[in-house]
Amino acid sequence: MMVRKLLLIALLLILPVTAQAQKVEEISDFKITVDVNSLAHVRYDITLKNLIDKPVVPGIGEIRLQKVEPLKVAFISVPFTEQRKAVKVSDVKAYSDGKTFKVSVEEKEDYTVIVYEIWYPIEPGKTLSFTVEYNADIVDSGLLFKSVTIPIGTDTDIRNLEINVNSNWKLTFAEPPAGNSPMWRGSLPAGSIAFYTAEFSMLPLPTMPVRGYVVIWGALLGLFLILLVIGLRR
Amino acid sequence: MAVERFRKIGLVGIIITLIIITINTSAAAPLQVNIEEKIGSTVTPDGIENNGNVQFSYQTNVTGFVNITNNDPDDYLYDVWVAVDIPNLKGECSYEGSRTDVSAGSSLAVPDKINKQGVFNTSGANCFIHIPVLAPGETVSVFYDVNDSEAGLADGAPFVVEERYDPFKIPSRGEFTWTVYLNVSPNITWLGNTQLPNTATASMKIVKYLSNDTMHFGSQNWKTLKVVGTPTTNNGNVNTYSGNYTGAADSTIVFSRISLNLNNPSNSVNTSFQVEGNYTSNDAFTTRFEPFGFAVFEFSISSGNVSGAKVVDVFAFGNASIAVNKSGPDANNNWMGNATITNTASGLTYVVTNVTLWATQQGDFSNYVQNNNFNNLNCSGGTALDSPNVICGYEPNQQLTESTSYTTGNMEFTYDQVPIIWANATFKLIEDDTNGWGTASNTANAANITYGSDFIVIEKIYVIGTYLVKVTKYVQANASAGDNVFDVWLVVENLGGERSPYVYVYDLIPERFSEYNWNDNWTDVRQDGNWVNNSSMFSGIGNVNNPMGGYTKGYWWRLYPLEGGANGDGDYMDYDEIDANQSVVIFYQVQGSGDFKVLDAFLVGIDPMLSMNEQTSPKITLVSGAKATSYESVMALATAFAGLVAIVSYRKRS
Repeated sequence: MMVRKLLLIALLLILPVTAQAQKVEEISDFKITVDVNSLAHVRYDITLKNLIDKPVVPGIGEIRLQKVEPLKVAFISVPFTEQRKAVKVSDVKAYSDGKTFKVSVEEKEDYTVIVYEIWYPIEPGKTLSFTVEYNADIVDSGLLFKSVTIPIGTDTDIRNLEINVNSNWKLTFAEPPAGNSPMWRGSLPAGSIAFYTAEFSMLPLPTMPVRGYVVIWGALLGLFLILLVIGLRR
Repeated sequence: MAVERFRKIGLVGIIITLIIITINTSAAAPLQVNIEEKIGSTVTPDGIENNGNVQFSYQTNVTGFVNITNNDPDDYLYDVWVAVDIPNLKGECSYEGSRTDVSAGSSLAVPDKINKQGVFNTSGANCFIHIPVLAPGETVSVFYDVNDSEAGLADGAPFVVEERYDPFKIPSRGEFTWTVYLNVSPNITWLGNTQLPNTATASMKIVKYLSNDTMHFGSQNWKTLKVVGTPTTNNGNVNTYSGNYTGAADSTIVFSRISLNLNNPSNSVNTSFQVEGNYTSNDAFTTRFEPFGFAVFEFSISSGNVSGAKVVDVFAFGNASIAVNKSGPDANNNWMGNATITNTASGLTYVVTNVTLWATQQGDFSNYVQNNNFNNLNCSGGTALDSPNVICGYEPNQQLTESTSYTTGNMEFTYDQVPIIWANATFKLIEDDTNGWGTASNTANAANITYGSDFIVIEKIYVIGTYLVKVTKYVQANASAGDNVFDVWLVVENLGGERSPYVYVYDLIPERFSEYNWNDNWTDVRQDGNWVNNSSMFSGIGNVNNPMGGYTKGYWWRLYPLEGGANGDGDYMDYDEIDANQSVVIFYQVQGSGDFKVLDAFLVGIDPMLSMNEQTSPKITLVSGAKATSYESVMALATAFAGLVAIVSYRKRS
């Protein structure tokens, strides 16, 4: 499963995955906040730390976004198929303490790149915090449920990673299981990828260990099948 | 409302008229002695704090001029003597002009006739000036220097300069913009060491120049340098200007009509402007504190001077006549004489301080006539000075306006021949702004022929430098090793002057090539088909499959920091550089098969941290997006279908 997920993004990265070199920077704090509506509003609060004894200018950074989804016939997803697409983003901005950083969006064939530029130096051992925000069409919307499954990969160590996914609907499922605040906290070494899934429903359902849509639609399907069997036996 | 407005306009008009009248009535005296002090300061940045504030050091030199001007359009002035008291005088005052008859110094011999109480006061003076003749409209300037250290002025300046850059460090090799916040306020501490009055105000103009000229506080490495955006100020005006120094700057900013109350530290001028520059150097460096221009302060302080120099006294006179009247002898050989002093100048007023009358014997210039009992009664209104010699002294202290005269009382004596009666007089200009002599004092910036002012604030910003790291790739057939085997040499060199950070070297294996004679060990130099020399420089390796079209594998090698100083010739057998860790050689072999294309192997990449391109740190790449994991639509469709079938089936059965 993990191998499949790694392959998902493999073409987007050439990452050092083995020996540890002297690192120049790390992401000491990375807080992801996703507000799920028809679009997702994504906010990254990133703190970069200079690990060397010379000032470092972060310069150009990239956020590469790719959406992997099944082929669709009308609105029906075809199981066991897969297509990779660029993510449509809008209202992109990067800023820090009143400073607005230059950002641009490049849409490649099957992925989107948000390029930001930070030319403020970070003194040795010091940090620089900045925020990147954008709207993206990454919400997987159904009839009664909507969900997001967000991969996070990096070529730089993330020491403290926090993820929060918010919606007006009820949280029915989260993987890894959701805490209170943040919903998930961990760290992410350079070259690795983590996934976080959150599902919400318009129905007043509790948070469950399995996907809510499977429970509800599975129950209805089972009910109809029982009715069908009963009907056939009469 | 309209009436009120006109009333206000009328009031303003009256005030302006009064100001004009005041200015006109404060014209200089016929003999004007101005003390003008000049402040020259160099404000040099020592560094920038982490909040972007520039740390400045100040060096100041105060000098002065005693300017003596004959403002009378018609009258010559004679025997002009000026005594000046200059606290903390350094050396002596001096005349450095072209006239040979003008003298100045601390120990000039003032004639006894002048150097006495009531005529020319020299008390406390340490600078004396003598000008035999001062023509109408002529000015003589005498220079002096203030001992700045003794006066507590050397390490400060009249203004506190606060400057902040945002950002305060910029990368080299690219167009970058930074904002300069320049604030200037009175330096109360420094001003407290001066004799400037508490009410002094400074009128100021700040001219900001950008410079890429090393002779003018710049650096030739600024390939472009210009002001962008709109400068701002909270005090006075701001506009662009072509000054008397142009350098290669695209634009210059002038902040003018600035007024500062020198008694109020919160009274300041706050300006901001943006600079865009591209600093590109052929040398490798980590960080430089580089000048990008300077600001020149032109200012004048309304009254007073820094050192407290003041005019003690002035002696001078203009055109006049002296006449001696003689009558006698009567039957008893009695003679009478007096003297008349007449002011023949136009517009000058004198005070006659001393007149002396005396008589010498017939045909003789020096032997006085002598009378026994010659006393004050013989000197009407005067004093017998040296009885029995016939000499009368008068101290009238009488002012003579234009064309008026003073006549002494009669000197009476007895002589049986024909005496010669002599007279001399001492008179001088009165201290009066209209008809005599006057003084004034002011302070301004020291002049600078090149920049206009010698009050200069130098500006520097940190530029973050780069390393010069180069990789050269060789692909050579090696038939002895095997069919279609190629040797690949990657030569990494640090051409820079400083040690590099870790260096990543990237390379790709084209399609229809495969690794040949490799093992997992990259430190076994010359033992097989994959090694790094020096092996101690090898820090790691990684790879990725199908990195891009036409290539089956991508490799990166991480090397420990390379020492600077390689010659950059790409020689993979330069063992001196290899031993010195200035060059590192990565060697591997590949073997082609099928329709392989050797040309595809001529591809290599390098990414030294803090590299030469725009990005000066490793580019951070984050990956995110979405993975659709919900099949709710399928489940809903299946449920709907099952429900439909169940309902249809149920109806059929029933």
